[in-house]
Amino acid sequence: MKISDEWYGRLLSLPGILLVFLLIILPVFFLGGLSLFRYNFVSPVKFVGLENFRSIFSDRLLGHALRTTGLYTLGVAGLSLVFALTIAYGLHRLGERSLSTLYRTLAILPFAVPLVLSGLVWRWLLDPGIGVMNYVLVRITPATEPINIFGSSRSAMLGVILADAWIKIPFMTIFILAAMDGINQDLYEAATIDGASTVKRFRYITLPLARNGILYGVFITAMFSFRTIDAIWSMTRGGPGKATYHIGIFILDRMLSLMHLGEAAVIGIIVFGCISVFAVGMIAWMRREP
Amino acid sequence: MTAVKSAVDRTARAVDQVMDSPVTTYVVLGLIFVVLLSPLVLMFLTAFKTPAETEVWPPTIVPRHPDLEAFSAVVFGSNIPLAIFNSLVITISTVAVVVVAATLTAYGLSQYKYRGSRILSYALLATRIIPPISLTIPFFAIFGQLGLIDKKLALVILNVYLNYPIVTWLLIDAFNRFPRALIDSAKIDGATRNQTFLRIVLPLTVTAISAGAIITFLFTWNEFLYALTFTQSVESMPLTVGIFEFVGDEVVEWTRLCAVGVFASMPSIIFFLFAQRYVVQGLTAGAIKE
Repeated sequence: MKISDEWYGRLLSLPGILLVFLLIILPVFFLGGLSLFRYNFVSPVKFVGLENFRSIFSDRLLGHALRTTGLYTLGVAGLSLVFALTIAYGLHRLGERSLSTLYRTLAILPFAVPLVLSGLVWRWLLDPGIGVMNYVLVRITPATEPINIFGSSRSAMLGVILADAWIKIPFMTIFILAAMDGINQDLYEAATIDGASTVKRFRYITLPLARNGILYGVFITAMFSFRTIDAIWSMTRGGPGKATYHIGIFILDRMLSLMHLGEAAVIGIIVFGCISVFAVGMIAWMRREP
Repeated sequence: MTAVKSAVDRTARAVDQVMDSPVTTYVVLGLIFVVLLSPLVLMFLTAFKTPAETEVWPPTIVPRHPDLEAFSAVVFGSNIPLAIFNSLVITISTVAVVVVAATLTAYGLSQYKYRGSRILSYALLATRIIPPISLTIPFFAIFGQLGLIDKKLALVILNVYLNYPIVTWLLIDAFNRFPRALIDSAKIDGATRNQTFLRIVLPLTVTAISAGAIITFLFTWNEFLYALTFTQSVESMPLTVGIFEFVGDEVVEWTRLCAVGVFASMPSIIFFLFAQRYVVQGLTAGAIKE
Protein backbone atom coordinates (compact mmCIF):
# COMPACT_ATOMS: atom_id res chain seq x y z
CA MET A 1 0.00 0.00 0.00
CA LYS A 2 1.36 3.39 -0.98
CA ILE A 3 0.56 6.34 1.24
CA SER A 4 0.80 9.98 0.14
CA ASP A 5 3.75 12.18 1.07
CA GLU A 6 1.51 14.18 3.38
CA TRP A 7 0.47 11.08 5.28
CA TYR A 8 4.09 9.98 5.44
CA GLY A 9 4.88 13.29 7.15
CA ARG A 10 1.99 12.87 9.58
CA LEU A 11 3.00 9.31 10.34
CA LEU A 12 6.54 10.38 11.19
CA SER A 13 5.74 13.44 13.24
CA LEU A 14 2.35 13.07 14.88
CA PRO A 15 3.08 10.28 17.41
CA GLY A 16 5.83 12.31 19.05
CA ILE A 17 3.89 15.54 18.92
CA LEU A 18 0.81 13.93 20.44
CA LEU A 19 2.91 12.45 23.20
CA VAL A 20 4.59 15.71 24.07
CA PHE A 21 1.39 17.71 23.92
CA LEU A 22 -0.18 15.13 26.19
CA LEU A 23 2.72 15.70 28.58
CA ILE A 24 2.25 19.46 28.44
CA ILE A 25 -1.38 20.28 27.75
CA LEU A 26 -2.82 17.77 30.19
CA PRO A 27 -0.75 19.14 33.10
CA VAL A 28 -1.60 22.72 32.12
CA PHE A 29 -5.31 21.91 32.43
CA PHE A 30 -4.61 20.07 35.66
CA LEU A 31 -2.81 23.15 36.94
CA GLY A 32 -5.90 25.26 36.28
CA GLY A 33 -8.17 22.62 37.80
CA LEU A 34 -6.09 22.06 40.91
CA SER A 35 -6.23 25.76 41.75
CA LEU A 36 -9.97 25.36 42.40
CA PHE A 37 -9.69 22.40 44.76
CA ARG A 38 -8.50 21.57 48.21
CA TYR A 39 -6.01 18.82 47.41
CA ASN A 40 -3.65 17.70 50.12
CA PHE A 41 -3.41 13.88 50.10
CA VAL A 42 -4.93 13.84 53.61
CA SER A 43 -8.52 15.05 53.56
CA PRO A 44 -10.81 14.21 50.62
CA VAL A 45 -10.45 16.37 47.52
CA LYS A 46 -12.96 19.19 47.71
CA PHE A 47 -14.04 21.91 45.28
CA VAL A 48 -13.44 25.27 46.95
CA GLY A 49 -13.97 27.74 44.08
CA LEU A 50 -11.67 30.74 44.28
CA GLU A 51 -10.74 30.10 47.92
CA ASN A 52 -7.10 29.27 47.05
CA PHE A 53 -6.77 32.46 45.00
CA ARG A 54 -8.17 34.48 47.88
CA SER A 55 -5.73 33.01 50.39
CA ILE A 56 -2.65 33.40 48.14
CA PHE A 57 -3.51 36.96 47.06
CA SER A 58 -4.12 38.00 50.66
CA ASP A 59 -0.82 36.42 51.73
CA ARG A 60 1.83 39.11 52.18
CA LEU A 61 4.44 36.53 51.17
CA LEU A 62 3.25 36.74 47.55
CA GLY A 63 4.27 40.36 47.09
CA HIS A 64 7.51 39.72 48.92
CA ALA A 65 8.33 36.63 46.83
CA LEU A 66 7.59 38.50 43.59
CA ARG A 67 9.85 41.40 44.60
CA THR A 68 12.61 38.98 45.63
CA THR A 69 12.26 37.08 42.36
CA GLY A 70 12.37 40.30 40.34
CA LEU A 71 15.51 41.48 42.11
CA TYR A 72 17.14 38.07 41.71
CA THR A 73 16.29 37.92 37.99
CA LEU A 74 17.56 41.45 37.38
CA GLY A 75 20.73 40.75 39.34
CA VAL A 76 21.56 37.50 37.55
CA ALA A 77 20.70 38.80 34.07
CA GLY A 78 22.51 42.13 34.62
CA LEU A 79 25.68 40.65 36.09
CA SER A 80 25.80 37.95 33.42
CA LEU A 81 25.26 40.49 30.64
CA VAL A 82 28.21 42.65 31.71
CA PHE A 83 30.60 39.71 31.83
CA ALA A 84 29.17 37.84 28.84
CA LEU A 85 29.36 40.92 26.59
CA THR A 86 32.98 41.54 27.57
CA ILE A 87 34.02 37.92 27.16
CA ALA A 88 32.11 37.41 23.90
CA TYR A 89 33.51 40.60 22.36
CA GLY A 90 37.04 39.58 23.39
CA LEU A 91 36.66 36.10 21.89
CA HIS A 92 35.04 37.57 18.81
CA ARG A 93 37.99 39.91 18.29
CA LEU A 94 40.48 37.09 18.73
CA GLY A 95 38.70 35.30 15.90
CA GLU A 96 40.93 32.49 14.68
CA ARG A 97 44.15 33.73 16.26
CA SER A 98 46.32 31.30 18.17
CA LEU A 99 44.92 29.98 21.47
CA SER A 100 41.40 31.02 20.45
CA THR A 101 40.11 27.44 20.76
CA LEU A 102 41.54 27.15 24.26
CA TYR A 103 40.08 30.53 25.21
CA ARG A 104 36.66 29.56 23.90
CA THR A 105 36.73 26.36 25.94
CA LEU A 106 37.84 28.13 29.12
CA ALA A 107 35.06 30.69 28.70
CA ILE A 108 32.26 28.09 28.79
CA LEU A 109 33.78 25.73 31.36
CA PRO A 110 31.76 26.85 34.43
CA PHE A 111 28.61 25.89 32.53
CA ALA A 112 29.70 22.27 33.13
CA VAL A 113 28.83 22.60 36.81
CA PRO A 114 25.23 21.78 37.78
CA LEU A 115 23.55 24.93 39.13
CA VAL A 116 22.65 23.22 42.40
CA LEU A 117 26.33 22.37 42.91
CA SER A 118 27.33 25.95 42.09
CA GLY A 119 25.17 27.00 45.02
CA LEU A 120 27.03 24.66 47.36
CA VAL A 121 30.46 25.66 46.03
CA TRP A 122 29.73 29.40 46.42
CA ARG A 123 28.28 28.85 49.87
CA TRP A 124 31.64 27.35 50.79
CA LEU A 125 33.74 30.01 49.00
CA LEU A 126 31.84 32.79 50.78
CA ASP A 127 31.79 31.13 54.20
CA PRO A 128 33.08 33.56 56.86
CA GLY A 129 34.96 30.80 58.69
CA ILE A 130 36.70 28.88 55.91
CA GLY A 131 35.84 30.51 52.56
CA VAL A 132 38.56 31.50 50.11
CA MET A 133 36.53 34.32 48.52
CA ASN A 134 35.81 35.80 51.91
CA TYR A 135 39.50 35.68 52.71
CA VAL A 136 40.27 37.48 49.44
CA LEU A 137 37.65 40.12 50.31
CA VAL A 138 39.30 40.72 53.67
CA ARG A 139 42.68 41.13 51.96
CA ILE A 140 41.68 43.44 49.12
CA THR A 141 38.89 45.52 50.67
CA PRO A 142 38.85 47.78 53.74
CA ALA A 143 36.95 45.05 55.60
CA THR A 144 39.04 43.69 58.47
CA GLU A 145 36.77 40.85 59.55
CA PRO A 146 35.33 38.10 57.33
CA ILE A 147 31.87 39.12 56.23
CA ASN A 148 28.99 36.84 57.13
CA ILE A 149 27.33 37.16 53.73
CA PHE A 150 24.43 34.90 54.56
CA GLY A 151 23.87 36.63 57.89
CA SER A 152 22.25 39.78 56.53
CA SER A 153 19.37 40.04 54.09
CA ARG A 154 20.94 42.33 51.51
CA SER A 155 24.25 40.51 51.17
CA ALA A 156 22.52 37.09 51.17
CA MET A 157 20.76 38.15 47.98
CA LEU A 158 24.12 39.06 46.46
CA GLY A 159 25.45 35.62 47.41
CA VAL A 160 22.70 33.67 45.63
CA ILE A 161 22.91 35.97 42.60
CA LEU A 162 26.67 35.28 42.33
CA ALA A 163 26.17 31.50 42.34
CA ASP A 164 23.53 31.66 39.61
CA ALA A 165 25.36 34.26 37.48
CA TRP A 166 28.52 32.15 37.58
CA ILE A 167 26.72 29.48 35.53
CA LYS A 168 24.78 31.98 33.39
CA ILE A 169 27.84 33.99 32.24
CA PRO A 170 29.16 31.19 30.00
CA PHE A 171 25.62 30.30 28.94
CA MET A 172 24.92 33.86 27.80
CA THR A 173 28.39 34.15 26.25
CA ILE A 174 27.56 31.25 23.92
CA PHE A 175 24.50 33.07 22.53
CA ILE A 176 26.15 36.46 22.22
CA LEU A 177 29.32 35.07 20.66
CA ALA A 178 27.32 33.10 18.08
CA ALA A 179 25.55 36.31 17.07
CA MET A 180 28.81 38.31 16.92
CA ASP A 181 30.55 35.64 14.85
CA GLY A 182 27.76 35.96 12.31
CA ILE A 183 28.82 39.54 11.53
CA ASN A 184 30.57 40.07 8.21
CA GLN A 185 34.31 40.72 8.82
CA ASP A 186 34.46 43.16 5.86
CA LEU A 187 32.51 45.68 7.91
CA TYR A 188 35.25 45.79 10.54
CA GLU A 189 37.96 46.14 7.93
CA ALA A 190 36.17 49.01 6.23
CA ALA A 191 35.65 50.74 9.59
CA THR A 192 39.29 50.30 10.56
CA ILE A 193 40.46 51.79 7.26
CA ASP A 194 38.16 54.73 7.93
CA GLY A 195 39.90 55.16 11.27
CA ALA A 196 37.15 53.97 13.64
CA SER A 197 38.52 53.04 17.08
CA THR A 198 37.74 49.69 18.67
CA VAL A 199 35.23 51.34 21.00
CA LYS A 200 33.45 52.86 18.02
CA ARG A 201 33.48 49.58 16.11
CA PHE A 202 31.92 47.86 19.13
CA ARG A 203 29.35 50.62 19.51
CA TYR A 204 28.35 51.02 15.84
CA ILE A 205 28.97 47.59 14.30
CA THR A 206 29.04 44.82 16.89
CA LEU A 207 26.27 45.98 19.23
CA PRO A 208 23.60 46.79 16.63
CA LEU A 209 24.32 43.74 14.45
CA ALA A 210 24.44 41.28 17.34
CA ARG A 211 21.45 42.95 18.99
CA ASN A 212 18.98 40.09 18.62
CA GLY A 213 21.47 37.48 19.81
CA ILE A 214 22.20 39.60 22.87
CA LEU A 215 18.50 40.15 23.58
CA TYR A 216 17.82 36.44 23.18
CA GLY A 217 20.62 35.55 25.59
CA VAL A 218 19.27 38.01 28.16
CA PHE A 219 15.73 36.73 27.64
CA ILE A 220 16.63 33.05 28.14
CA THR A 221 18.79 33.83 31.18
CA ALA A 222 16.14 36.01 32.78
CA MET A 223 13.43 33.41 32.09
CA PHE A 224 15.55 30.67 33.70
CA SER A 225 16.30 32.79 36.75
CA PHE A 226 12.66 33.68 37.19
CA ARG A 227 11.57 30.06 37.50
CA THR A 228 14.56 28.47 39.23
CA ILE A 229 15.18 27.00 42.65
CA ASP A 230 18.54 25.22 42.27
CA ALA A 231 21.09 27.70 43.67
CA ILE A 232 18.76 29.15 46.29
CA TRP A 233 17.79 25.72 47.51
CA SER A 234 21.39 24.69 48.08
CA MET A 235 22.44 28.03 49.62
CA THR A 236 19.73 29.56 51.78
CA ARG A 237 16.37 27.81 51.15
CA GLY A 238 14.88 31.30 51.07
CA GLY A 239 16.56 32.66 54.20
CA PRO A 240 17.88 34.31 56.26
CA GLY A 241 14.40 35.18 57.43
CA LYS A 242 12.75 35.45 54.03
CA ALA A 243 15.53 37.50 52.40
CA THR A 244 16.00 35.20 49.39
CA TYR A 245 12.43 33.91 49.27
CA HIS A 246 12.22 33.27 45.52
CA ILE A 247 8.79 32.39 44.12
CA GLY A 248 10.09 28.91 43.26
CA ILE A 249 10.74 28.29 46.96
CA PHE A 250 7.25 29.66 47.70
CA ILE A 251 5.76 26.99 45.38
CA LEU A 252 7.82 24.16 46.87
CA ASP A 253 6.93 25.22 50.43
CA ARG A 254 3.20 25.14 49.70
CA MET A 255 3.48 21.88 47.80
CA LEU A 256 5.99 19.79 49.75
CA SER A 257 5.98 21.20 53.28
CA LEU A 258 2.35 22.24 53.63
CA MET A 259 1.08 19.66 51.09
CA HIS A 260 -1.35 22.26 49.79
CA LEU A 261 -1.42 21.58 46.05
CA GLY A 262 -4.35 23.90 45.37
CA GLU A 263 -2.59 26.96 46.74
CA ALA A 264 0.70 25.92 45.10
CA ALA A 265 -1.19 25.74 41.79
CA VAL A 266 -2.30 29.36 42.19
CA ILE A 267 1.33 30.46 42.57
CA GLY A 268 2.22 28.29 39.57
CA ILE A 269 -0.39 30.13 37.51
CA ILE A 270 1.03 33.48 38.62
CA VAL A 271 4.56 32.45 37.52
CA PHE A 272 3.13 31.23 34.19
CA GLY A 273 1.37 34.57 33.71
CA CYS A 274 4.47 36.65 34.50
CA ILE A 275 6.66 34.66 32.12
CA SER A 276 4.08 34.84 29.30
CA VAL A 277 3.85 38.62 29.60
CA PHE A 278 7.65 38.87 29.72
CA ALA A 279 8.04 36.59 26.66
CA VAL A 280 5.51 38.52 24.57
CA GLY A 281 7.23 41.80 25.47
CA MET A 282 10.65 40.41 24.64
CA ILE A 283 9.56 38.98 21.28
CA ALA A 284 7.97 42.31 20.37
CA TRP A 285 11.20 44.08 21.27
CA MET A 286 13.30 41.73 19.13
CA ARG A 287 10.91 42.11 16.17
CA ARG A 288 11.07 45.92 16.31
CA GLU A 289 13.51 47.47 13.87
CA PRO A 290 16.56 48.80 15.72
CA MET B 1 46.29 75.68 22.30
CA THR B 2 47.22 73.61 19.27
CA ALA B 3 50.00 71.96 21.27
CA VAL B 4 47.51 70.83 23.94
CA LYS B 5 45.09 69.65 21.31
CA SER B 6 47.70 67.60 19.47
CA ALA B 7 48.86 66.09 22.78
CA VAL B 8 45.30 65.04 23.55
CA ASP B 9 44.99 63.59 20.06
CA ARG B 10 48.21 61.65 20.47
CA THR B 11 47.07 60.23 23.80
CA ALA B 12 43.71 59.23 22.32
CA ARG B 13 45.47 57.52 19.45
CA ALA B 14 47.79 55.71 21.85
CA VAL B 15 44.82 54.54 23.91
CA ASP B 16 43.13 53.33 20.73
CA GLN B 17 46.25 51.46 19.75
CA VAL B 18 46.47 49.72 23.11
CA MET B 19 42.76 48.88 23.02
CA ASP B 20 43.13 47.58 19.49
CA SER B 21 46.05 45.30 20.18
CA PRO B 22 45.29 41.58 20.48
CA VAL B 23 47.65 41.45 23.45
CA THR B 24 45.18 43.58 25.41
CA THR B 25 42.40 41.16 24.53
CA TYR B 26 44.46 38.17 25.63
CA VAL B 27 45.35 39.83 28.92
CA VAL B 28 41.84 41.11 29.76
CA LEU B 29 40.26 37.75 28.95
CA GLY B 30 42.99 35.99 30.90
CA LEU B 31 42.27 38.07 34.00
CA ILE B 32 38.53 37.44 33.70
CA PHE B 33 39.17 33.70 33.37
CA VAL B 34 41.24 33.67 36.56
CA VAL B 35 38.18 34.92 38.45
CA LEU B 36 35.68 32.88 36.44
CA LEU B 37 37.52 29.57 36.74
CA SER B 38 38.81 29.86 40.31
CA PRO B 39 35.73 28.23 41.91
CA LEU B 40 36.12 25.25 39.59
CA VAL B 41 39.85 24.94 40.25
CA LEU B 42 39.36 25.28 44.02
CA MET B 43 36.71 22.57 43.94
CA PHE B 44 39.07 20.17 42.16
CA LEU B 45 41.96 20.97 44.51
CA THR B 46 39.88 20.69 47.66
CA ALA B 47 38.76 17.19 46.73
CA PHE B 48 42.37 16.17 47.44
CA LYS B 49 42.60 17.88 50.85
CA THR B 50 42.18 16.30 54.24
CA PRO B 51 39.02 17.32 56.13
CA ALA B 52 41.16 19.12 58.74
CA GLU B 53 42.77 21.29 56.10
CA THR B 54 39.40 22.73 55.06
CA GLU B 55 38.91 24.15 58.56
CA VAL B 56 41.98 26.38 58.69
CA TRP B 57 42.10 30.17 58.40
CA PRO B 58 43.55 31.58 56.21
CA PRO B 59 42.26 28.93 53.81
CA THR B 60 44.84 27.04 51.75
CA ILE B 61 44.69 26.81 47.97
CA VAL B 62 46.90 23.85 47.05
CA PRO B 63 46.48 20.79 49.32
CA ARG B 64 49.38 20.47 51.76
CA HIS B 65 49.07 16.71 52.14
CA PRO B 66 47.19 15.60 49.04
CA ASP B 67 45.34 12.31 49.51
CA LEU B 68 42.45 10.36 48.06
CA GLU B 69 40.52 10.01 51.34
CA ALA B 70 37.58 12.04 50.04
CA PHE B 71 37.35 10.03 46.82
CA SER B 72 37.59 6.66 48.57
CA ALA B 73 34.99 7.73 51.14
CA VAL B 74 32.67 8.80 48.34
CA VAL B 75 33.23 5.72 46.18
CA PHE B 76 33.30 3.04 48.88
CA GLY B 77 31.42 4.52 51.80
CA SER B 78 28.44 6.45 50.44
CA ASN B 79 25.39 6.24 48.22
CA ILE B 80 27.05 8.35 45.53
CA PRO B 81 27.94 5.40 43.21
CA LEU B 82 24.26 4.46 43.24
CA ALA B 83 23.33 8.09 42.53
CA ILE B 84 25.77 8.19 39.60
CA PHE B 85 24.24 4.96 38.30
CA ASN B 86 20.74 6.47 38.62
CA SER B 87 21.84 9.63 36.85
CA LEU B 88 23.31 7.57 34.02
CA VAL B 89 20.18 5.42 33.65
CA ILE B 90 17.89 8.46 33.63
CA THR B 91 20.12 10.49 31.32
CA ILE B 92 20.84 7.76 28.77
CA SER B 93 17.19 6.66 28.59
CA THR B 94 16.11 10.27 28.11
CA VAL B 95 18.69 10.86 25.38
CA ALA B 96 17.63 7.67 23.55
CA VAL B 97 13.93 8.54 23.60
CA VAL B 98 14.46 12.20 22.73
CA VAL B 99 16.86 11.54 19.84
CA VAL B 100 14.66 8.92 18.15
CA ALA B 101 11.39 10.76 18.68
CA ALA B 102 12.74 14.20 17.79
CA THR B 103 14.48 12.94 14.64
CA LEU B 104 11.30 11.33 13.31
CA THR B 105 9.14 14.32 14.23
CA ALA B 106 11.53 16.87 12.79
CA TYR B 107 12.01 14.95 9.54
CA GLY B 108 8.27 14.63 9.03
CA LEU B 109 7.66 18.29 9.79
CA SER B 110 10.51 19.50 7.64
CA GLN B 111 10.41 17.32 4.51
CA TYR B 112 6.82 16.07 4.16
CA LYS B 113 4.74 19.11 4.94
CA TYR B 114 1.05 18.72 5.57
CA ARG B 115 -1.75 21.08 6.52
CA GLY B 116 -0.87 22.55 9.88
CA SER B 117 2.69 21.22 10.11
CA ARG B 118 4.14 24.73 10.22
CA ILE B 119 1.85 25.73 13.05
CA LEU B 120 2.76 22.54 14.92
CA SER B 121 6.47 23.38 14.67
CA TYR B 122 5.88 26.80 16.18
CA ALA B 123 3.58 25.36 18.82
CA LEU B 124 6.39 23.04 19.86
CA LEU B 125 8.72 26.00 20.29
CA ALA B 126 6.06 27.95 22.17
CA THR B 127 5.79 25.22 24.82
CA ARG B 128 9.19 26.42 26.03
CA ILE B 129 7.43 29.36 27.64
CA ILE B 130 5.45 27.16 30.04
CA PRO B 131 7.54 27.20 33.24
CA PRO B 132 8.49 23.69 34.38
CA ILE B 133 8.18 24.84 37.98
CA SER B 134 4.47 25.56 37.47
CA LEU B 135 3.94 22.07 36.05
CA THR B 136 5.62 20.49 39.07
CA ILE B 137 2.29 20.74 40.88
CA PRO B 138 0.03 18.93 38.37
CA PHE B 139 2.78 16.35 37.70
CA PHE B 140 3.01 15.75 41.44
CA ALA B 141 -0.74 15.11 41.62
CA ILE B 142 -0.83 12.96 38.44
CA PHE B 143 2.26 10.90 39.26
CA GLY B 144 0.97 10.48 42.80
CA GLN B 145 -2.19 8.87 41.40
CA LEU B 146 -0.20 6.69 38.97
CA GLY B 147 2.25 5.53 41.64
CA LEU B 148 5.20 7.04 39.77
CA ILE B 149 6.58 9.08 42.67
CA ASP B 150 10.09 7.95 43.59
CA LYS B 151 10.53 6.04 40.31
CA LYS B 152 13.33 6.69 37.81
CA LEU B 153 10.70 6.35 35.07
CA ALA B 154 9.04 9.55 36.29
CA LEU B 155 12.27 11.48 35.78
CA VAL B 156 12.76 10.01 32.31
CA ILE B 157 9.24 11.12 31.33
CA LEU B 158 9.80 14.61 32.72
CA ASN B 159 13.20 15.07 31.09
CA VAL B 160 11.76 13.92 27.77
CA TYR B 161 9.11 16.62 28.14
CA LEU B 162 11.82 19.20 28.92
CA ASN B 163 14.13 18.35 26.00
CA TYR B 164 12.03 16.95 23.16
CA PRO B 165 10.71 20.33 21.92
CA ILE B 166 14.14 22.04 21.76
CA VAL B 167 15.82 19.09 20.05
CA THR B 168 12.97 18.80 17.54
CA TRP B 169 13.31 22.49 16.76
CA LEU B 170 17.08 22.11 16.30
CA LEU B 171 16.59 19.18 13.91
CA ILE B 172 13.81 20.86 11.90
CA ASP B 173 16.36 23.59 11.19
CA ALA B 174 19.00 21.02 10.20
CA PHE B 175 16.64 19.10 7.88
CA ASN B 176 15.39 22.36 6.33
CA ARG B 177 18.95 23.15 5.31
CA PHE B 178 19.49 19.68 3.86
CA PRO B 179 20.03 19.93 0.05
CA ARG B 180 16.71 19.14 -1.57
CA ALA B 181 18.51 17.97 -4.75
CA LEU B 182 20.00 14.96 -2.94
CA ILE B 183 16.55 13.79 -1.84
CA ASP B 184 15.11 14.31 -5.32
CA SER B 185 17.91 12.43 -7.06
CA ALA B 186 17.53 9.51 -4.64
CA LYS B 187 13.85 9.43 -5.53
CA ILE B 188 14.67 9.38 -9.26
CA ASP B 189 17.11 6.53 -8.66
CA GLY B 190 14.20 4.56 -7.23
CA ALA B 191 14.96 4.76 -3.51
CA THR B 192 11.93 4.51 -1.25
CA ARG B 193 11.21 7.29 1.24
CA ASN B 194 12.47 5.13 4.10
CA GLN B 195 15.68 4.32 2.25
CA THR B 196 16.25 7.99 1.43
CA PHE B 197 15.78 8.91 5.08
CA LEU B 198 17.94 6.15 6.56
CA ARG B 199 20.72 5.92 3.96
CA ILE B 200 21.05 9.47 2.65
CA VAL B 201 19.61 12.04 5.04
CA LEU B 202 20.53 10.52 8.41
CA PRO B 203 24.25 9.95 7.72
CA LEU B 204 24.60 13.55 6.54
CA THR B 205 22.75 15.15 9.45
CA VAL B 206 24.51 13.14 12.13
CA THR B 207 26.24 16.32 13.42
CA ALA B 208 22.98 18.03 14.27
CA ILE B 209 21.58 14.84 15.79
CA SER B 210 24.69 14.50 17.97
CA ALA B 211 24.33 18.13 19.03
CA GLY B 212 20.75 17.36 20.11
CA ALA B 213 21.90 14.27 21.99
CA ILE B 214 24.65 16.17 23.79
CA ILE B 215 22.52 19.08 24.99
CA THR B 216 19.85 16.62 26.16
CA PHE B 217 22.57 14.80 28.08
CA LEU B 218 23.82 18.04 29.69
CA PHE B 219 20.38 19.33 30.66
CA THR B 220 19.22 15.97 32.03
CA TRP B 221 22.43 15.29 33.94
CA ASN B 222 22.23 18.74 35.58
CA GLU B 223 18.45 18.77 36.17
CA PHE B 224 17.54 19.42 39.81
CA LEU B 225 13.96 20.67 40.29
CA TYR B 226 12.13 17.50 39.24
CA ALA B 227 14.84 15.28 40.73
CA LEU B 228 14.24 16.95 44.09
CA THR B 229 10.45 16.86 43.87
CA PHE B 230 9.95 13.35 42.53
CA THR B 231 12.52 11.23 44.36
CA GLN B 232 12.59 10.25 48.02
CA SER B 233 14.80 7.17 48.36
CA VAL B 234 18.40 6.52 47.34
CA GLU B 235 17.14 3.88 44.88
CA SER B 236 15.88 6.55 42.51
CA MET B 237 17.86 9.66 43.46
CA PRO B 238 20.13 11.10 40.77
CA LEU B 239 23.43 12.79 41.56
CA THR B 240 22.09 16.36 41.81
CA VAL B 241 20.01 15.31 44.82
CA GLY B 242 22.33 12.58 46.12
CA ILE B 243 25.04 15.20 46.66
CA PHE B 244 23.13 16.48 49.69
CA GLU B 245 24.28 13.37 51.58
CA PHE B 246 27.30 15.47 52.63
CA VAL B 247 25.32 18.58 53.53
CA GLY B 248 24.12 18.45 57.12
CA ASP B 249 22.22 21.07 59.07
CA GLU B 250 25.32 21.98 61.04
CA VAL B 251 28.33 20.48 59.27
CA VAL B 252 29.12 20.16 55.59
CA GLU B 253 31.81 17.67 54.59
CA TRP B 254 33.51 19.91 52.07
CA THR B 255 36.25 17.59 50.82
CA ARG B 256 33.71 14.86 50.02
CA LEU B 257 31.31 17.37 48.52
CA CYS B 258 34.09 18.59 46.25
CA ALA B 259 34.92 15.02 45.25
CA VAL B 260 31.28 14.50 44.25
CA GLY B 261 31.48 17.83 42.45
CA VAL B 262 34.31 16.45 40.35
CA PHE B 263 32.13 13.48 39.33
CA ALA B 264 29.12 15.71 38.72
CA SER B 265 30.88 18.13 36.39
CA MET B 266 33.11 15.59 34.63
CA PRO B 267 30.76 14.50 31.80
CA SER B 268 30.03 18.09 30.80
CA ILE B 269 33.70 19.07 30.97
CA ILE B 270 34.55 16.15 28.68
CA PHE B 271 31.88 17.28 26.20
CA PHE B 272 33.18 20.86 26.32
CA LEU B 273 36.76 19.72 25.68
CA PHE B 274 36.06 17.28 22.88
CA ALA B 275 32.71 18.27 21.38
CA GLN B 276 32.43 21.97 22.05
CA ARG B 277 31.20 22.70 18.53
CA TYR B 278 28.22 20.40 19.08
CA VAL B 279 27.34 21.98 22.40
CA VAL B 280 27.37 25.47 20.90
CA GLN B 281 25.41 24.36 17.85
CA GLY B 282 22.84 22.60 20.02
CA LEU B 283 22.30 25.55 22.35
CA THR B 284 22.11 28.27 19.72
CA ALA B 285 20.06 26.47 17.05
CA GLY B 286 16.74 27.72 18.33
CA ALA B 287 18.09 31.20 18.92
CA ILE B 288 19.47 32.28 15.59
CA LYS B 289 16.27 32.15 13.61
CA GLU B 290 13.46 33.74 15.51
